[in-house]
Amino acid sequence: MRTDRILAGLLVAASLVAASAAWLSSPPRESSLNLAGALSGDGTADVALIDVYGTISDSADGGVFGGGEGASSNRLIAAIRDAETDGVKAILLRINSPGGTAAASQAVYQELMRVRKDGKIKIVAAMGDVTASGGYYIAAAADHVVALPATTTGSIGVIMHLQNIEGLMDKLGIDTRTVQSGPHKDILSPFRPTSPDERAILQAQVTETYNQFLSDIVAGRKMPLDKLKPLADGRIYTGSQAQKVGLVDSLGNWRVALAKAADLAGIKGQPDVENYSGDDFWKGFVPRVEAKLPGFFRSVQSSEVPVKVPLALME
Amino acid sequence: MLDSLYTTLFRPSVAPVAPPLRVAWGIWFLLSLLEAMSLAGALSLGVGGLLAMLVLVFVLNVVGWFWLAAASNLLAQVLGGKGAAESTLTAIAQAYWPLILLAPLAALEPWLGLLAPLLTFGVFVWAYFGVVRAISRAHALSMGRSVLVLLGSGAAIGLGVMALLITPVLALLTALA
Repeated sequence: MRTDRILAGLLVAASLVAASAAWLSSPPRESSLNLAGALSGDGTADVALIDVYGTISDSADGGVFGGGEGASSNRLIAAIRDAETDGVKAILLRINSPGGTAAASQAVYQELMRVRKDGKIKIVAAMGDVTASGGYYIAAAADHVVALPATTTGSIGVIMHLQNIEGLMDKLGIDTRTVQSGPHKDILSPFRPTSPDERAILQAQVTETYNQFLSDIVAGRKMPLDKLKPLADGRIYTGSQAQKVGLVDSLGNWRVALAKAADLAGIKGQPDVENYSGDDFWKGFVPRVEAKLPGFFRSVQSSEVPVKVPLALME
Repeated sequence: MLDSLYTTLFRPSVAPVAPPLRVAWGIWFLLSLLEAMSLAGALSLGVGGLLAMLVLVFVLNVVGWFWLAAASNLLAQVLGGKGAAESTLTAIAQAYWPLILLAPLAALEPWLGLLAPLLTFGVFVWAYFGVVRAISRAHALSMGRSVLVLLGSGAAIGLGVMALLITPVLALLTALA
């Protein structure tokens, strides 16, 4: 093929790709209409919408192409800071998370509590399908927590999984040797049984983390420890049950939560809402393409919020 | 069609005076598709909205194209032009090829900043300069006369649109009075 035709073909292709991207990457019409007022993008919004979707971890903040799946604590903290810098009056957290690591959940909790203590921004959490364990940890930092009656929440506790595959390794004829600097360096080794000493060390760590979790919920929810402790044995609750025991303030969907956020922040009329979760290119792009072409990225989207993930803080 | 695009953008001196009619239709379809996708993106429309927008934009573009070609052909002949109506039609379609650059420009807008509107304006100037050149070549007219043809055609179209709008308004007012 002649070079001039190739050049012209490339130009046509580039134009089509650019126009397709402009169409596919635009926010779904539903959002701009239903998010109560304009979906601002100029840093003048009243309410910052921050999504906490997936397993919470201290993953990379990502670059242009994002930092993998799940809820990155770094990205969430950056979103909270951005919202604060832009002077929003309220933050609405939409949480659909089975939990995550203790440190990452705690990091987001602490950031939210710092903003909350400052008193300028009201925080409301809206629970989705699942807001358990680390997800609840984050929700506890909100001024008001809204759940759906069927939301799965609770699972307040800390868990550490240990495996001993020594027997399997023996069957396979694999001999594992360890060279270590101290007696406990291989404390989590799956190739031998855990000694009572090691178990005590790990139990102390789990208990310490659990106590931090409890005291943070006490601070966030303003709930006495003696009332919280019986609820925090790791069990899960429906949204309705959680409301009855005081882990949740009211029932409703995220739009009810948005109205509550506007009310708490003293916003008159329809609040302008800006989504601060969109700094991750694929996180924003995939749902937008899904909205335009339903089913196109079904597999990608379904893997973002896993249905069956252990309700664990520590893995 | 690719030849027409390449020569119009990069080697206008060897571009055909008037490409085949099927190429002209192809140009308008492609430009309409790009415009429809950009508008659908700006208005956050779904697949249905995009298809509706494509039909609407294509129809409006074709109506505008025929209108401009008809007015230009008439005025060019009044001013001594010798071209045929079909060559005016296809030459004008070909002159609009630079508008294909609007989609990439829109995509690059966040990085171009203030340069983006200037470049967009430049693309339109390029396209309308192309229309003047197309009229000049199709009718063997001077560039000055071709500019007059384009301005006259624009005025005629403007007046026509106003007449289309004013007539029903006047009829409505008369009925209400």
